Amino acid sequence: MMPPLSKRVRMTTLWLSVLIFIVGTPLLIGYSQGYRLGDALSLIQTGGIYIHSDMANTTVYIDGEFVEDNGVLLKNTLIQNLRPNRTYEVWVEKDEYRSWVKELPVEPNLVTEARVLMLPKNFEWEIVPASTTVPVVPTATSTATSTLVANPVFVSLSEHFKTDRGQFVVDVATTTYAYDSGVRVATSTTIAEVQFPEDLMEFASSSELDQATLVRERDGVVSWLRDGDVYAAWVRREDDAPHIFRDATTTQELLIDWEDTILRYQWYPNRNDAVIVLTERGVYAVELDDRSQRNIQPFIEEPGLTFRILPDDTLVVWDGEVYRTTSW
Amino acid sequence: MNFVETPYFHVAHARDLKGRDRVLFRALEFFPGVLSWGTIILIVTLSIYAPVAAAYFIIAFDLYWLLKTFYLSLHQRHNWKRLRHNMSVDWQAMLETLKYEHVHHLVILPFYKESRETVDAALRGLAESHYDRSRLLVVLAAEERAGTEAEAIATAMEEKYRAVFGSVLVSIHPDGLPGEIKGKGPNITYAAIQARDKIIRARHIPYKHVIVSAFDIDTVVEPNYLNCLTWHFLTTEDRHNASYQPVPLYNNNIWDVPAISRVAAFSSTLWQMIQQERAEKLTSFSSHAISFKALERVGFWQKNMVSDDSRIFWNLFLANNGNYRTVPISYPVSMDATFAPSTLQTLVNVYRQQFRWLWGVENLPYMMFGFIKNKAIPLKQRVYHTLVQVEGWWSLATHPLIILLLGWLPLILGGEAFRDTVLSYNLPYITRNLMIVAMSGLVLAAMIAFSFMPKLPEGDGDRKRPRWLRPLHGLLFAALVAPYVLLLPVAPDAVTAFIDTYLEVFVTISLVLLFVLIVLSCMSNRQLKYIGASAQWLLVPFSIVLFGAIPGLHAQTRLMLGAYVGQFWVTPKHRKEHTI
Repeated sequence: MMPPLSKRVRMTTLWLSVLIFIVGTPLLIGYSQGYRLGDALSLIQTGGIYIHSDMANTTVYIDGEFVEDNGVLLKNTLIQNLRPNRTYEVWVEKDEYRSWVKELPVEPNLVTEARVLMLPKNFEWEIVPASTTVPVVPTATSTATSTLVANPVFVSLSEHFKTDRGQFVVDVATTTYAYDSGVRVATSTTIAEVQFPEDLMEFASSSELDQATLVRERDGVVSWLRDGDVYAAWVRREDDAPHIFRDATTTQELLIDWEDTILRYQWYPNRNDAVIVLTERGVYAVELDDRSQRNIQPFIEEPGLTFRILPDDTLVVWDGEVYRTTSW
Repeated sequence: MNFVETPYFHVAHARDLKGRDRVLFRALEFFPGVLSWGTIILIVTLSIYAPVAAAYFIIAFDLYWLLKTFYLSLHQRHNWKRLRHNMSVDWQAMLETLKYEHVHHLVILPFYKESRETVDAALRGLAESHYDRSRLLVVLAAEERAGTEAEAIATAMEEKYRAVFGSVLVSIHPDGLPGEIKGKGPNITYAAIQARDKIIRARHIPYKHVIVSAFDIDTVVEPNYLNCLTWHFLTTEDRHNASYQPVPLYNNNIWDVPAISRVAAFSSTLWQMIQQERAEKLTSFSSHAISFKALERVGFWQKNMVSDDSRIFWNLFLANNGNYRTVPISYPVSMDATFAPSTLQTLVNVYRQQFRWLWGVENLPYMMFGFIKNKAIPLKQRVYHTLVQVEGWWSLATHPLIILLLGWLPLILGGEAFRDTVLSYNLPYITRNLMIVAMSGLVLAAMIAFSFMPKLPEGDGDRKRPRWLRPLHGLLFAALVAPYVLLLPVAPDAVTAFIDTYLEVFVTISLVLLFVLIVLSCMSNRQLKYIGASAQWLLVPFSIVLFGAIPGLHAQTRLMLGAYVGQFWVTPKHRKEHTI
């Protein structure tokens, strides 16, 4: 008869497993916390860098050394085993796109986060003129085969450029009364008024947001324009702040303070850590993250422009004659 | 006073006791639920307030799980070899070396509303047995509450097999007897008493010469099973102080049932195989055998609770002051996997059956209470069995949840301060990698299970295949894939950009699925069935949560709340025509 598994084998395996568990658990925990063997078998606690990216097929370098090529699905990069208490230069590049470079500090047992901002080197702009030519059938009085008519796309885009105001400006209807020859005459007018939501009131009051222009909010980050500079702050104090407001080198309020006056700005599509700004020199994408030098990348560099981001994330630039639109 | 004579012996739940005994028993009923829920709550709490500690715990747990998988796989592999060896042994020849002619087998076949074909299949298996059938005493244990149809089936089967076996007795268990639940325990006890009075005593067969097999009605034995059982009975020292446990294989209808039901069924088989190599932890389960002498002494199976199959082990363990064990016979009996006419109903039935099995946790307070009251059992044994049983019920209800769900909690609930640490980034990697290594245990389990599956019945492949998997649809799937395939070399940038920008995950998954569908569409039904039987193991992570942890927690919570299960849920037995 074939005997059951022998007690000796069972006990040996059991005690071996117990031994592996006792030895292996602290080793695994130590490894998970970033402990690695350094020079002369000394133990150092390393840190890491995590690069968030919306771009696929990027290549990541750190201090000039290749780290990895990202594919279509895995866009983010975790760089581990970095010696702590120093900064690293992270370089992300992709063909036909501007590179993103950042110097990031690494602390023991911590992972420093950053988010890539990369624009194409060349945009394809679509020109939208004020009028467009449509074919007509020649008549007895006219031999013309086409005629100029107002471009409906141009008209539609013009609507977006009529006003330029912050997110919390609302129209309030008011009625004033006057007496004209003893007759009371009511006059209705609409005035623009800033109305902050309840959860922003305290912050708005302390930061005097009513004195600022173009106040906007996205996912807990409030931004505003004052004296030609863009400010941003995290307002959901009860929640954990995003990394750009949290890391040691940043302050609670971020400031984009250029020599050029910023004329207007809007949020970068789908992000609350980057904005698109307008100066006399052109239109640029700027990251809020102020660790090392900010990545600033141009959409278009020409004087005398203004721009809008449409709800479908199309960038529209107006040069006084035609609209130019692009998506990226 | 022997423990059998105490008022505690046939206690089902705390409500059967009074005073301090009731309080103690009630506290013990709380114990498994509190332990399991406490573990879950502790991990959630740690994940919120001390995520680093929670991460340490999870890493340690992952390693523990991996080592446990290897350890149990070792047992599983050995039992697989032993099982196959035992199936190849000439048990008749083995028996010839012993004096065995005096041994009688009393086989009790309880049934409720199962079909005539199911009852007939069980009897046919016994009729094909190589053991001397004149010493085979069969009791068809029908329920009065099942109506006249059950009685008619029993009578018809009695007539059909009367000449085949030494005796065929029909017992009709009266409905509504005081002190009984509606369930299998009261029925088989009633049947055993009927057999004692009408056959065993009438024929003056000594109790010690009778082995009782309490089968589920879907149990079909191999021709050599009774020989194998008899050999183990006769060669076991102190044979009346032991239960004899075969390995349940749910093979009767295994090709008919959905994959998730197959996985649940095989999980039960594989666990029993592991336990067969750890006999000191083995208790009786489902179809099992016990000496009549031992059974009679304790009044047969308990009639006031659901988990009679495992309770009888603890009854006998306590009655014999710890001098009782289960002998693994490492020989299979074939049973039905849970099956219903619709997949949804099958899933519901699988859950209900698993819940009924896991309601076996009601034996834990009984065992612990018995250990407190019966000091004649050596302390070492009491402590050992308590630890083994508590760990078993606790791990069953919590470990799948920890592995698959709770392990991620520190990342979700730990807050930004934790999420910034290297530890938080490494936690999912460590868990994933250890679980991938642990998957080797699953691969071994799948191979073992596959080796036990019967050949796909002839003609099974000719039946109607799913509408969406016909060859014609393969062309349609190919047509859907073609544009992507054609576009890829022509305009790779455009395609990549499109995928990047819009539908990355959707498109990727769709493409993979479509390719899989094309391949599957080109296969025959038989090939599809075998592919399904291999791929079914991917369902294990869901299965151990849905049909392990959740019904386990469900049962422990009900026990904790005193919402006792008062009726034995009889798993409906459905088979497709060709399997009958």
